[in-house]
Amino acid sequence: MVKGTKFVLLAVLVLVSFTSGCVTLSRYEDLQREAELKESELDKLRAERQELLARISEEELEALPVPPEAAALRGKELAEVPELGDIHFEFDKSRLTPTAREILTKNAAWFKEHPGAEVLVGGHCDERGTAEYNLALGDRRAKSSRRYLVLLGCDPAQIFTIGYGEERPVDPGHTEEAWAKNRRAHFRVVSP
Amino acid sequence: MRKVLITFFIFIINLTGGLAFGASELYIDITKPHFKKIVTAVPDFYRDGSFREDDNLSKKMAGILANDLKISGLFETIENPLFLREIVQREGNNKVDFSQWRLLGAQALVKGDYSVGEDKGLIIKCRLYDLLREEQILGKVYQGDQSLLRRMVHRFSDEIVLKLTGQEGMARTKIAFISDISGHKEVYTIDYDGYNLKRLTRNRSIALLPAWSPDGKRIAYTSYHADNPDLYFINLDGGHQVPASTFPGLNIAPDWSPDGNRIALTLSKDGNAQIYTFKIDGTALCRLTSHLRSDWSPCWSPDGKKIAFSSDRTGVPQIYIMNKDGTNIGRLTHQGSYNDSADWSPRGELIAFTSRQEGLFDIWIIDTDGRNARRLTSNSGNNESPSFSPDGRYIAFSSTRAGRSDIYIMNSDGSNQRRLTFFGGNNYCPSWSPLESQEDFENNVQKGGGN
Repeated sequence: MVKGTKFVLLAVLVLVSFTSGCVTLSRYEDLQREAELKESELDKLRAERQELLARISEEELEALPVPPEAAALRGKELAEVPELGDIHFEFDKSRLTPTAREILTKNAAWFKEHPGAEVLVGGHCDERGTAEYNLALGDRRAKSSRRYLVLLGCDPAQIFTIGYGEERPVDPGHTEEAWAKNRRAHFRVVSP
Repeated sequence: MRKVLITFFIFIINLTGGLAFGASELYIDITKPHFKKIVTAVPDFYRDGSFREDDNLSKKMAGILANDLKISGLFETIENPLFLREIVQREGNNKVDFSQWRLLGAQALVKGDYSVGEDKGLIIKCRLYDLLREEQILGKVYQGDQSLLRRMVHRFSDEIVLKLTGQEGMARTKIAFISDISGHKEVYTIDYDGYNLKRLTRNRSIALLPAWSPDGKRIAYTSYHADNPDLYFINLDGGHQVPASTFPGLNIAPDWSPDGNRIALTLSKDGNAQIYTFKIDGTALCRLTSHLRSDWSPCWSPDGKKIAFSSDRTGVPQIYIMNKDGTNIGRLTHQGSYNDSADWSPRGELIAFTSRQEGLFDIWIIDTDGRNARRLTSNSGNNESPSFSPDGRYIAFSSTRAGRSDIYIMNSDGSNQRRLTFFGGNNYCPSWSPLESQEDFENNVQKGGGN
């Protein structure tokens, strides 16, 4: 287990322990004393963390710090990966809905099975809203998705974001249906 | 004295039928809320001193000039019905039959005469006459390549406006904007009257939010062609595109400080979109806002002391004003639940912005103290991205009233809305150029005085 992810795991547990009630402070201290965590205990923690993250509020999620991106992902060829599902957003929001969190959890599992993969998360908006507002919103949606993946244990150094605002819709229509499709975060992987 | 003047005015009104000048000379005080437009005759230009029936350039020059006077909102033009042509043909280049022109209801007259040199260059002589005082009050000579025809005529239109109102005319300005007519969003410029479309970028990616430098020589904009929304500068001839800000995340919505030394922009490298400034050489990056919510779209005041910007710190986008160092943040807009894209009038007293009400966007203006919010567009699709002309009297904006997004201009009170782009595609994010400097004009076009 990468050192960074271990840190994040423990940080999450500490920070949510008081709100969740299912991980106590003494348990954290026990873990801290041990030199190595047993795999089975790690799995249990991962499951608990996953459950916690699925349940906590958006504000609490946004308050959890994750290592920022060091640089933009440039000059790479990107591939579509059908197994990595899009997540969708409500109008004018970057909030991760329960469905979105489920999909992100599945996507995180894919990353665990493909340890070297670098991923670019694109954040998109529907055409309503000014260009500038949508650029900021798309950027937030991409970063929100990245934060969740990192909190789930993905390597922050391998996840990049880019906000496209309303500039790259998947459906050019002007209907509620088209708009709902366009409010998304989309995942592409760097071609090996 | 006053009694004498009043008697004089009445005499003039009787003579010419309905003038309302504040003085005995041809002049408009455009600071007054209601002024009378000057009725101006603009016949086709002469060529080599004589009138030619169907000369294209003659018609073109007169047409450009008359259009400039009309767009300014300060003039009513009499152009070229048949009887105008008769007078011009009869009187010849060097004479003016003042009473004949006055009979048409004109108060001012523009006459032009051009010739084509051996090198195919143009020499254009323009004169403005006060028909009341029966004298020439303006005369200029321009010399330049045929490709500069529009520019030279625009220059004389601006001389007319300056002479008769004391204010600079806008005919020699341009508007930068984004168009996708090529299949990709690129940066273009167009003359303020909708002609002379020029493409600046060829990145075949997504370009957004151009902003003109105060010296009129460069444009800042965002482009995705290096796999990130980065900020670039480009020269007006489309050459020398250089990266200006390439942080991870957003580098968007630039605005040049009025002295041209700094750029304010939106970066998201530290998490959320926030406002930063840096010096033109890329140094001295300074963060101005630090809020958990997003801040974006900075816009300098014309005195360089304050910055207006958008923020969703209350949950919805509203416009705020802060000092240029980020202190003293105050909220400007309180009506409606979506206000964005502020542009500060060069006169300093007004801010134009985009407001969404009942699902549609419109252009509004508001006093800088937050009072007198006024709506300028309505019932005409989505109207966004206002940009003031350098004299603050006009606003460029985008509108979808005709189907796709096009660039429009209007007076800053919302009147006289006219469309500029007619070539298809989607056209948005207008940015109005500064005035062309005298030096720049003379570098390209020779100008003579008197006549």
